[in-house]
Amino acid sequence: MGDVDILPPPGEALVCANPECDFAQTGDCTDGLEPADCPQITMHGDSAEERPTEAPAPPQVPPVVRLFGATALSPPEADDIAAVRGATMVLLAGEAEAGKTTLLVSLFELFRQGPLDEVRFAGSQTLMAFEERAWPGRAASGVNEPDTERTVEGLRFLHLLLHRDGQLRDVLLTDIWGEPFENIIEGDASTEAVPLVGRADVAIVLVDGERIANLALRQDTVRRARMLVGGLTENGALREQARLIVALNKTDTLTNDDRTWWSEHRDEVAEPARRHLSDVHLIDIAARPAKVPHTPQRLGELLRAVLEPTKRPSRQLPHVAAEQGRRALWTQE
Amino acid sequence: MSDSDPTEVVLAGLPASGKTQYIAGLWLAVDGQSECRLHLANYKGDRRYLVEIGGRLAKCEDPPHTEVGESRTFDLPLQLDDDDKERRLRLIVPDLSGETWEHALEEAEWTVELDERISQASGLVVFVHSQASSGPTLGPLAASLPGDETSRDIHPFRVSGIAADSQLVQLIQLLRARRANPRIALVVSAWDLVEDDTLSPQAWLGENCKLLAQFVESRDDIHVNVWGISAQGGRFDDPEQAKRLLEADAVGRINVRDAENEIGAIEDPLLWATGWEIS
Repeated sequence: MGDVDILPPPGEALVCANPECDFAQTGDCTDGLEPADCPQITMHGDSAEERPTEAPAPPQVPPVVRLFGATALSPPEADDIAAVRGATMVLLAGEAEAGKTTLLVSLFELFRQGPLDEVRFAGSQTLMAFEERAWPGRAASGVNEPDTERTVEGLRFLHLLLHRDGQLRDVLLTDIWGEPFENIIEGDASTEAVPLVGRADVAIVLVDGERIANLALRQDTVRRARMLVGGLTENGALREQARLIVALNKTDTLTNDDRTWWSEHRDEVAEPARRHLSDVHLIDIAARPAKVPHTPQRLGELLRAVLEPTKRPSRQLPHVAAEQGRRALWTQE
Repeated sequence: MSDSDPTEVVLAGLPASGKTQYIAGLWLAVDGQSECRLHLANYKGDRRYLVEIGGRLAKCEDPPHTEVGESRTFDLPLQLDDDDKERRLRLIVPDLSGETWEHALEEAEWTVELDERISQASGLVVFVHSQASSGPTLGPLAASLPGDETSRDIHPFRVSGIAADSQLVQLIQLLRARRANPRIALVVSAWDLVEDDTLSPQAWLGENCKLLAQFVESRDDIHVNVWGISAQGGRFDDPEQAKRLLEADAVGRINVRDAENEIGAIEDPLLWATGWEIS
């Protein structure tokens, strides 16, 4: 028996099923065959009767390589992008139904129509995630009233790589559901409700225009938006070099009287931010007007405001500097 | 890879993007007496499928339907004509049905084997059908659906339902991630269906794939060139056109336009993707 391969491991033995054969005692096969060639010789306990019935082996799944793009980014994945060449981190804040996801999708859609002045789309690590959020508004989704996917719990980022003045710029947009912002309005510390607030280069506070158009809701809406702005900016939650943009969304639902009312009250919303930040903007937008063809209004202006360099000391530029390597975006230093 | 190894070019494209007809046309060109600069390097391997699709194209018949789940993989050994360097090219088609690429976009994964193929390839040829949905897709399309009632029955997200523009950008991004500085030949198939015959493939890209056009223009780490190709030369379902096509030479009726709308040859995207300098 020269084949080492078929030697039994310690504690096991070869046996012959032929009762006429005394292989087990002598080691010689009655038919003169090598053990490996004799169909009667098996490992002890390996006969068909004694073998337990085994489930059929599952089909072999070839090994795969994980790619990117199908889902939004986790904080560590966002960090990885930021570590390469720095990134502009945009905190998109607002209560549920304010239109945060619609705004994200519409910013992406803006580039589907072509470059925005000198700013061009140069890629996205979350392209299919943008498309998935836009899906309820697509004809192929079977829905005949444009909508966007609701954000689920947790912190995720959508990514745009933009080209401007010969430079590539990564923009990370938070995709956070409304509840943490409602908690800030109700008194939670923003650094606890949304720990990454201190890392944001730009914060957009989205105000629901439909509620401004509603006489019964408008005063409360302004009050709540003001509390959110205050919560995000007081005690250095947002860094003083950060930019805050108060964006009234769904302005297509406003009458002229509503617009006048808003213009008289919108500074009340921004006022708490002005105590802490010098870079505060007020912009009225309609991320997706209800009226066909749903062409976004003033989103270009909003994007330009996001992309303008912020007043950060040069030592802190970019926000997540490449030389610092991976630095957590979502926790406090 | 040794000097004697052939240069590899991988062909990619989502379902119904025109890959089969291109390969059929290429097969007729390299196998026939045409002026094609590429010819078969050898007659080894199973050629039944190539013979079948080439035969059907020659007879002005549609290609055989690719069954769902039928991931046909094959490669075609080719050699450059009149070339003292004896340069050889291996065209690799990892999945003719295109489902592999669709899966990659939807699930963000592909096999290790495919990954190695891509990372080793000298060039890539990517297909898009000239009549594929180019968007815009928010609003106008949704609003144009019949019926007044608001439907809330949302079909699950699927990559096949989004604009070709986004599909292409994502596919090219994935290819780029596995292969540094790739040369990507973009083939706009069924070019005969583009109504404006003064439109160049480059201009078509700018009008129909605005996202991709910006992407390509912004990135110096990706090299993309575009062709418009009609392997059929016209519509087979139009009896008059089909008759006219049958009267013409099967290779001669293939219509190829380069980025600037100049007449080209069916092998041009492949040769460009190799990066070879060809006099």
